Amino acid sequence: MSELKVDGTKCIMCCLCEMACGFRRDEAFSTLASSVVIYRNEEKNNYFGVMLKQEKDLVLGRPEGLEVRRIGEAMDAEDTSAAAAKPVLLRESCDLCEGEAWCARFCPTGAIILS
Amino acid sequence: MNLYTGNVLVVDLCDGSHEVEFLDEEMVNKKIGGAAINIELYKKHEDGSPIVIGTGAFTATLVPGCSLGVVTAKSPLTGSLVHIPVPFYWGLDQKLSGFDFIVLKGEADKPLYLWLHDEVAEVREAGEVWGKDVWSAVDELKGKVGDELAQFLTIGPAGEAGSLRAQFAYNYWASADRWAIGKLFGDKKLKSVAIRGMGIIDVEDPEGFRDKCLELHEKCKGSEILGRHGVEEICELSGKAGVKDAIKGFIHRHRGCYGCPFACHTYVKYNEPPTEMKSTDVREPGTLLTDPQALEMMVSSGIEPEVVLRMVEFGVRQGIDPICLAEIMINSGKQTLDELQSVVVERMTMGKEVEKVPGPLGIEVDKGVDALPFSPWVSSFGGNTDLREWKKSCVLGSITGICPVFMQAFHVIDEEVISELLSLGMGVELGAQEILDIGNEL
Repeated sequence: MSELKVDGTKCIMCCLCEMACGFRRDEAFSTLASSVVIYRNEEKNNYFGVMLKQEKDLVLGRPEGLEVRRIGEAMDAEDTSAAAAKPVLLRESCDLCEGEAWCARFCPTGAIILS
Repeated sequence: MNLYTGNVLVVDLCDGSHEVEFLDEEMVNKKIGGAAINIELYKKHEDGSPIVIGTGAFTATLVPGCSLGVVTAKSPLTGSLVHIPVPFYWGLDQKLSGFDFIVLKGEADKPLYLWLHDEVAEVREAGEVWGKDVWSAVDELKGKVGDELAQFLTIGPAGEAGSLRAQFAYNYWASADRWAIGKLFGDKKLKSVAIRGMGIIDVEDPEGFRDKCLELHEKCKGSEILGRHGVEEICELSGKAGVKDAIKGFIHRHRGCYGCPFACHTYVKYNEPPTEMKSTDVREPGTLLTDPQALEMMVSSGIEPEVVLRMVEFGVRQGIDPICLAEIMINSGKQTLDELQSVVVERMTMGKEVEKVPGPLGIEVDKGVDALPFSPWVSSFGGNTDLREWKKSCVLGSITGICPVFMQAFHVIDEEVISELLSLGMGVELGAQEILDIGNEL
């Protein structure tokens, strides 16, 4: 069965994955409906990575490594990046674009791949 | 209107009034966008010495390298009209904010900042941040607008003081403003423009446009440039290997602009180990290097690398053009951080004696693009060293919203490709020569 593999260390913050996902959902350029979001809230300290909402899990491709959380699990209140992920939980879950995985196809670095 | 939201925001800073005009579709069909439309809007509002901030036709789409906003204004330094590319995420958020083009005319009598979002424009007092450095001001304004992802064009003390060495900064980082448009912000008492976009942009042929964009990205993946990262590699490819050696112990991570596969910016850490990848309590661990030319000048002067990097941060905080910063540092003969910071504060508002730097990323109208950037890096990237090729990248990039550095490095987009993308994206039929003619009018 195919699945997306996320490697936050390869992310360069180009956000193509986010736009490609949003485009697939809206057939227009917008990122609000995207199941994948680039976390870039901490610009000054250059901390960024990939957040992917799956049906049961929230995949956090952090620069220090991968973390997968069960959706519904309590989040550490002091973990700012986890707190920032909350809006992502309201999005639709990734459905792999019925096999097309547009996020992976547009990603230039292999930070998201379809395996 | 496809690929645009169709709105032009006109702000009169004299009284804070503002109105939204419809973007003239006929003009878009003839001029495409970006700098070519900025000029039309500049002429229309010329009495107010406007700063026009536009987006290109492909800004905020899936076209490779489509990050650009373009600032057009008359340079206080040269008296010429200039077009300055603003990469990173500015163009993305501007277009998705609902304002394809923004005209800022007149001068306020008290400090102001703009908060633009969701097709809403707010002109707010900036007295509390006037006098603050860029980093402090952006931090405070982020709190005021309540959005961590808002994007900012901001001036520091140099722009407020009317220095011809001033530039507007992009968020916390140095911009491509080599023409003292930061001083123009200061003259207008405009501390900052904050913007956030969460809108939607329609496209003529969604599937066809997306597939063409993907085809272009696939071509990029085959390029040797994709394995290169950061300002230090641009310097190395220019034959300036010393920069890479000097900063290698400070490099944390590289990052690109929206939509671009080339991570040409380098983040360095000097307040915590650069190998620290977690988000720690150190909120200001380092800075982002965005200007290879200035960095190479500073490193070559023999100033200690850590002092150079800290001075890059200091220069952005003050809102000084990095080239001017480098010249002040080098001419001072000082070596320590304290000495250099003192001399920069002392001299940044003095008379301008800086010579024009060859090959800036922008375009000076009437004078044109007169030099290759970072020469000979264009040839090192396997590109064409013909100045006409670089000029073409600059003008086509500034009307379409595609970064000229990306265009020159990857060679996957030319006027023929732009013609096809305009047809698929906007439903506008313009031939390759017509597109070149629009660019050549800049």
